[in-house]
Amino acid sequence: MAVSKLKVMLIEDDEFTRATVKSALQGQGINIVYDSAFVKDGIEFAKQNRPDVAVLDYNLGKGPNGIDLANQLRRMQPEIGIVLLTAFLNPAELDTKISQLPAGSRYLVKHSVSNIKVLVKEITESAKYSI
Amino acid sequence: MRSLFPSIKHKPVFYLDFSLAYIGIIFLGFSIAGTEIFQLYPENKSEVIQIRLIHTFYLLAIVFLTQVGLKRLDKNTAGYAGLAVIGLWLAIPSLFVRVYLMQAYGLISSADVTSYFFEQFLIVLVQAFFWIPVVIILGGQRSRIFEAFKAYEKRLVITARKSIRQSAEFIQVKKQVDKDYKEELSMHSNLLLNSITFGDNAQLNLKQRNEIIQRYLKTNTLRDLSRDLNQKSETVTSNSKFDQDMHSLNLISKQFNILYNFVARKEPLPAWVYTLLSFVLIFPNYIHFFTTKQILLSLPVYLVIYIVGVQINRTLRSGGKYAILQTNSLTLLIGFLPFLEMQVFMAFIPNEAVQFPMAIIAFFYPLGFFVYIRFSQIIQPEAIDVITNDDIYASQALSEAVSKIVKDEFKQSMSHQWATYIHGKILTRLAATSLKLEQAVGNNDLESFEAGLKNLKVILDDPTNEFEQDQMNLKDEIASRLDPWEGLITLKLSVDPTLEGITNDRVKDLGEVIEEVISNSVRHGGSQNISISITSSDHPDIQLLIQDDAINPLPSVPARIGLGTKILNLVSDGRWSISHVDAKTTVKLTMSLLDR
Repeated sequence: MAVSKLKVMLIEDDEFTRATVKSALQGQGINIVYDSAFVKDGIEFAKQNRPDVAVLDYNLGKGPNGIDLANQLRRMQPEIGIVLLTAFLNPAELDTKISQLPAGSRYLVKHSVSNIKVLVKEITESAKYSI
Repeated sequence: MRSLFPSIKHKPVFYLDFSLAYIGIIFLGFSIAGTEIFQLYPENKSEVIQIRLIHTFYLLAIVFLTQVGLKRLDKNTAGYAGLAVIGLWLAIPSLFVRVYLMQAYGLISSADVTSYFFEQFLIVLVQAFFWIPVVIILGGQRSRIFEAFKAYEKRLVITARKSIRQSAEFIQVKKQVDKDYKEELSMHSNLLLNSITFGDNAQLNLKQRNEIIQRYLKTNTLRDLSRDLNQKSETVTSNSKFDQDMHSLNLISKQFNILYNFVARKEPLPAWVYTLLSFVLIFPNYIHFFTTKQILLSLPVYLVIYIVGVQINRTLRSGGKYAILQTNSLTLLIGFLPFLEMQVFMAFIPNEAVQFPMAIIAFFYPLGFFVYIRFSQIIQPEAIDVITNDDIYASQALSEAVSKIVKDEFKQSMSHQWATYIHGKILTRLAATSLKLEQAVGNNDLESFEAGLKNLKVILDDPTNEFEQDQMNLKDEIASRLDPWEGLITLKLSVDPTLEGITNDRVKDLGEVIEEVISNSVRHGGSQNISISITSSDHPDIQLLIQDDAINPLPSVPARIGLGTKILNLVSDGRWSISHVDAKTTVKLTMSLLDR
């Protein structure tokens, strides 16, 4: 599927970060169909609209984290692609949690996001899980 | 009154614990080897060492097999007679092995085998009826004292948490930790802020400026700081039995003198213990080096030992201020009596004097005797009683050790909060700003680039300004913890209405506990339904009850104690429990809602 045809939802609790990532992805022609700071809103949207890919921040503040949300989305929609953003440099630091990530999920260290093409590539790769 | 040394009429039952037997066997091996190498067979050192090695390994193996066999037979306790039977079972075959080895290595001739056997037989009887039962009894007592001490330590930590949390010193520590982390974060942020000013140069084009800034953003040390704080917060305590025992042993050693003083005064050893211990320690020498006449001449010393033992017992029971000092001196005096006796014999009846190396009789023997007596005293059942009943006060060293445990837990909790803050607020925004700058360069948008740069400076100029959070009342605090889970799981909440308006630091702690339990329940237990109840307990305590419908059972004994346990301990002062029915879990926690 062409990247521009993918329906992507973005869940990030920090407003500034969410707005910036959204704007950058849209600049690359990606269709951000929904963005929110809240897990419950993301779940509700996914139920109704079945996006192709969910881009999720790992740290969503109080309550569930990005992995909790990723697992729930997969339960609801087994073919959904998942991209998890984390500020940790070394994925091994998330080792025990990474193992709980749904199959085919991608994770991306946030400082790599400055190269927006890397994020676009991860979104495209994660979407292949649904194909 | 229970005692390890009861009257004849009592028939106490002892735990079969062989843990000290292995140490005893190795000690015995060294002891016999020393006597044989330096006094009995000085010309055959190599043979003696080989025999001792083989014999020691044999003994270790037979004790291990006996231990396994008794466990399989589900035999965990025995009376003294039973211990003596075990002693004979271990000691008699060991004598045959020893005699065989002595003959095989040429240390005794075939003609001497019978006399050697009967000579050693008397020593073996002492081993079977005294030493082997004693090490088994002491091993069992040691294990029970360890268990009692662990429970005592837990109670002490609970008490310490309460008092420490409200102490001026702890409040100072809290402020200091907070200050240290803020300063560290500010330092790293300033470093980055200073670095990126190299890119704030109007003479360079946008691409050049961006390259400089991006280089520093990618190599900044804030990520390392966040990672380090996260690692500090996840420093875990090993939960293996060995490590716990070593930890308790360390704390017991800090408490040894106080425990000894209590037990010695409440249940001093009877005089016959001093007498019997002296006799069995000297007994092998009677066999090897003394004539019958010399043995008879030496016997009056045991009357002296008995009399001194009676005096020690009386002094301890009298409870005088210097009782411990006086009785320690008298115990050492008993240890020196064989040396004094040797000196008297050498002076007045030199023909009947048996001489021993000065280092042994004037140093190792008295010191060993003193240690045996101290150990026998402290390992009495009375020690378990005083620990269990909290009759002893904590020594300064123990208080400091417990205080350190509580402070470390607090620091770990703080590290976790700061790591989360840096990760969630600072690093995330830096990454987003980095992206914004890249976009601006791609679009050749100077205004947007300057806005991004300005935003970067604001973040780094005051990186801690969002850390302090306003206090919420209990109702809002709980709502802020539960609302984000909506859609993922079904939550049922019941809160005592009289508690809803409470606002203080402890309310935030309660929120953290609830979040910790729920996230564990969802992530590890796979729960979909969780009910939470908060009720008033004895003022100012409240009780939190969380029940889930987990489908994945948690390990019955966690391999390690992680941050979650520490948070629960810290908040509740250790007053929490977890129970399971199948995989479903119930967590009960009591905590004070008084402000700290």
